[in-house]
Amino acid sequence: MDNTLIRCAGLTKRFGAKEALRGVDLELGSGRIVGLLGPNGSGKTTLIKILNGLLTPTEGFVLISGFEPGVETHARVSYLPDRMYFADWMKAADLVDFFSDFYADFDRQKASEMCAALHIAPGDRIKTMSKGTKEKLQLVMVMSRAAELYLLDEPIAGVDPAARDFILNTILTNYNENGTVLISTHLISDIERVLDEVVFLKEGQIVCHDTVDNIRENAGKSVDALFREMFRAEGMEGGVF
Amino acid sequence: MRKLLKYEMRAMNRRLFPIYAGMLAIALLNGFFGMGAMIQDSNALERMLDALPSPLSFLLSMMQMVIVILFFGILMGMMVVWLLTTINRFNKGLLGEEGYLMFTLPVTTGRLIGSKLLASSIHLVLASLVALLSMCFMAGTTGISAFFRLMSDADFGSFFGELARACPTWPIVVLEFLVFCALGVFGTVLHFYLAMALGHLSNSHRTLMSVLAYIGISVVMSMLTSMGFSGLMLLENVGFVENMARFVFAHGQLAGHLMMLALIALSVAECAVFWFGTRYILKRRLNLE
Repeated sequence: MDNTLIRCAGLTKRFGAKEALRGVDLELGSGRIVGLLGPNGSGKTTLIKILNGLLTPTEGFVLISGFEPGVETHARVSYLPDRMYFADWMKAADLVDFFSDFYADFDRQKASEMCAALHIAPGDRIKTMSKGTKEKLQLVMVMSRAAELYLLDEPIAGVDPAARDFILNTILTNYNENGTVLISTHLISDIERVLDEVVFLKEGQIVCHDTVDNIRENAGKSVDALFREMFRAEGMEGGVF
Repeated sequence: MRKLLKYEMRAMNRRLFPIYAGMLAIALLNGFFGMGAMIQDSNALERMLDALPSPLSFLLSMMQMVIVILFFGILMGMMVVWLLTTINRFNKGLLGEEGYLMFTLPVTTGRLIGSKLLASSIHLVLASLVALLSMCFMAGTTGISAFFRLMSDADFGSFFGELARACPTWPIVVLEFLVFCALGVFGTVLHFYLAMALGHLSNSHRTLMSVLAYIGISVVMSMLTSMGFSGLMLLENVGFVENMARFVFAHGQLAGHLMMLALIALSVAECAVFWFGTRYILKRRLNLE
């Protein structure tokens, strides 16, 4: 079997008349940290939700390790959604139990240690936690799995710069090194240093997919600068019409 | 499946156990304030009230009335809360934000639905037991002792003997009836599930669409039923009813079993349609907001 982890072909998603994804073809290999970059509304979350089987594509297909999204892929993919998905009456310890009950690759010890580092006691109720703490707890759960693929949807969007560093470090020190991490964000400068590869999404289409080294070498600029250039141009086009 | 059921039960327990506790507490209070005495001998209560100074007796009888009303209110409320919890656990737990967690677990969609269906059904049985127990409490000590007196006086031996003579296959009838009831509960719950799943297919106004889907399914079901009946009526022309009547007279018990089995088969068919419809939508047409 080849090294392809994610394969999307002709992926299209329409919500009524609105097209969120327009014929996305994408192949990603194992052992990479990939940035899924694009402005708000470019289809990042839609793509990640399709990869998780939470949305059904209108056209095209997606395979993860050769499987359509389903039981087999859920066991391989660790997903951080862009929202809280826990029942808030649960305690931190309940969450650890829940994850270790359902995911064979969940490292209980690791999760407990990270919770302790964040001063989250096992008996703390999720309801009483601050928004930032909830997000960190969610990340701890997701990163305590030794998954083949981590799909992280906007992990650093809603937090202060100090917390951003914590989150990036948590991701970098805990991910399974044979696995791939796909991080969606529009805050590129913060994560550029950790990325191997970037995918630019614009209005539901992939406009650039390359390694960070290639971009720096060929375009002679940072990913952040390229991103700003690409999407500023779009704004000017908009102004002409 | 066991793990899913465990978490689902916990989520439902949280909502429903306080209601059960409240129900039992009020039933106990009720029993305490002499409902039982009233049931057994209304004169005794009147005598007791007459003996009290009138404002106090008035207050006591008012209180009794309030508690009785409260009790039936809670009984109704309990069923409503059970239904709402069932709907809510599906709507929020699968189609809402918790769905992000549940649908990314490495378990099949059938198990997700099944665990919710089972937890809900178990809670309906629990709620019924609590209601029964509350009735006992409400009857008060006199009521309970009367019940036990009745039970000990009853001649079960001759009752079952009689039953066995009249209908030797009665345990099968009981079993058929229980299966039919269980299927009825599953059908009711799955009806709600399918309606919510259908409503979820819409891009907007999902709640409204779910309600419409529920009504739509009901209409289709009643149309099918009346079509079935008119079909039977058509068969009358070929002497169906006459033959049927002859058959029933000749083999009363067998006819009874056949009727129960036919009802069970219909319920199974209904549940199957609801189940596979719901599962198909959640598996192949899932679009979480």
